[in-house]
Amino acid sequence: MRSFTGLAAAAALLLVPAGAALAAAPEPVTVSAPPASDAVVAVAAWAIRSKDPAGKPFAIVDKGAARVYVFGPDGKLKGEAPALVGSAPGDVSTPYTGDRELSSIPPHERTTPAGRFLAGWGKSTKGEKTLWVDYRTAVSIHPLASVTEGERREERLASFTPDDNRITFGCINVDRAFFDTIIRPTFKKTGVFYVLPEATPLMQAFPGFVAPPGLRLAGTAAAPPPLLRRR
Amino acid sequence: MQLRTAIVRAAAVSAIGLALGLGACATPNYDDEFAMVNTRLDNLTTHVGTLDMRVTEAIQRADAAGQAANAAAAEARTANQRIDQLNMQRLPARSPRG
Repeated sequence: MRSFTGLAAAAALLLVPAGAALAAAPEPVTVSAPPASDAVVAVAAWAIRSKDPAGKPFAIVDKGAARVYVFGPDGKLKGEAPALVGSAPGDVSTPYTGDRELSSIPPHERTTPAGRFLAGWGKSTKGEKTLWVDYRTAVSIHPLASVTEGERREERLASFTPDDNRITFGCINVDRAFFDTIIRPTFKKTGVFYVLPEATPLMQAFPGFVAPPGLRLAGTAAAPPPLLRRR
Repeated sequence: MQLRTAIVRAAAVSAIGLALGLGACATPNYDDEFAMVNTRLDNLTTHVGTLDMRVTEAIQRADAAGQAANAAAAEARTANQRIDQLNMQRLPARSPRG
């Protein structure tokens, strides 16, 4: 009898906190990815239709939305994820930025350059295998890594807004799981990266780009508005 | 003594009842969590499907509009692909920009 009561008491002690913990659990939040911009759709459609990546996988980096979209060589979307990009707005890199120490790059030069880049694996000075997006300016895509204290990169990547995702010196940072499960196996050797411009027209950023009709793109001719008639 | 035994028994029965009750409460919570994960996966799948669909539709509109898959762009594309011959492995190591 004693052992029975002891067992029951032990069961109650074990289960009551578990029940209380379940009751106190925060409400689950369902998060769905924001819809891709028309510019992402336009560049993907153009790349696939024109065979610009020439059978290679490709990725589109939307700096404004702070997201990366990865497509296989067949043009099918493999995955997408939030990203951290250069803290300074702008579409070009200052010459020789890639040759400089990070500490010597002033804030206004910390841009992620826009354009079409052949990405490929190389090595960093630390001997790490690195996927260079633009080797010339030392821009790579890599798992989240803080450069200086207080940057709160994990927090910025996890937040719902893209506004706080501008923190890097120009590299593109993504979640490690996304890098290991989507980027690394998709870009086994090389691939093409299309980094969408912020101020430059798409046609200027991507040589040969032609916008598919029916999409609203900044810097391209829009359909004239319908005429309004007054009776 | 009998009274004490009865009290202990009643307490034990109450404790088991409470535990089972909480266990029963916990089951729908797990179900809810599974449902939530499934919903997330469904949303993601739908979203991926939606972007693929939008891209396919854009390609179809370009085809229907008779956009040349770019005679004008062919030259640029050739230039792009010429640059693609670059072999990164042979380039010296450097520090990423963070």
